[in-house]
Amino acid sequence: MTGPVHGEHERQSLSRPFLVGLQPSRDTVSVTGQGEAAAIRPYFVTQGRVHDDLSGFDTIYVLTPGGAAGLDQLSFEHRDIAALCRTPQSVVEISALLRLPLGAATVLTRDLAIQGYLAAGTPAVDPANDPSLIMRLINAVHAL
Amino acid sequence: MLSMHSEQPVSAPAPVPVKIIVAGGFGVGKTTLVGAVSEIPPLTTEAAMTTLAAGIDDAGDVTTKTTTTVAMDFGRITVDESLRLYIFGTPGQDRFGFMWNELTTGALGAIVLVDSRRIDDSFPALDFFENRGLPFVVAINQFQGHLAHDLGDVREALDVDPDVPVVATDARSRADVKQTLLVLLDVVLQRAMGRAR
Repeated sequence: MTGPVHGEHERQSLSRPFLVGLQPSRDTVSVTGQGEAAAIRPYFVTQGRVHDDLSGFDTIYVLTPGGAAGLDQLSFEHRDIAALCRTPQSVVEISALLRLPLGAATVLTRDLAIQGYLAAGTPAVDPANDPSLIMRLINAVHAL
Repeated sequence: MLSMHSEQPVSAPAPVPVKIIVAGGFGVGKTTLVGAVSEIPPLTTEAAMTTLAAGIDDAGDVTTKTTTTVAMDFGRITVDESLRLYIFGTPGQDRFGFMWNELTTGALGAIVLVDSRRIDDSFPALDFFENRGLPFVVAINQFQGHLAHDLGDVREALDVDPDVPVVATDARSRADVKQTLLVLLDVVLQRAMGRAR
């Protein structure tokens, strides 16, 4: 096997997931001025909830506006997510674009879906056994 | 006429997402490959993953719960308004294996990207996908535009099943990566049709 590999973006072995956000991320500073604050707040606003209890809410689910009123009463983070989803966005895209750790983005997004601010798309039922879906992918890749 | 009085646009149903995984050792070109076909510049998300959630299910095994933050790069191809393909690049080292269960759930298939000078790096990914029964292709990245080793030799060294395609690709080339994706999708399609029979 290869020797110790540094980089590939990982940080090792923090004992508690909710402390991850307290570690200054080496690349949060560069993109937006909000980076440093965002490094702490996600786990504050999720009240320590992490991704472990989110089984069944997949990170590629695509979210669209759910129609519930009262967006202006939401927290900043929830409002940012709702605003982003005016064009359909998946949980991973929300995580990347708002620079939220994936676990925090998943918690917040699911909150919004439960409260009706966002509508979660239907996952593919069994894409690996759906030849017509696979053919659509093949045609799309051909057309790239 | 419909009036646009609502603050929320009335939207079509959200697209159905599907995903393909790109696995391989550090520095083998996963992000480059994703970027070659993605309609958006590759995005990065950081995920805190716990080893406890990794299928260590043995009762009575009091494990220390450790968490690793792992970055995944991903790209997107919009098939049409009702279907999106996400392509995830994921670290291939042994110690990240625990996250693959989570990541590969629901995935259509995988591309194992290999640097033929460091094929050991790809063994964990190959083992995982073989055991999992997930369709995959092996793509040998051509650094500096040429293969460091003969494809047949690499196949032999990797010891993959004869029905697993082993192809040469250039992760920077859209045409090459398209072709690699098509080879994978063909395997996925054959398998789906085989099961439908």
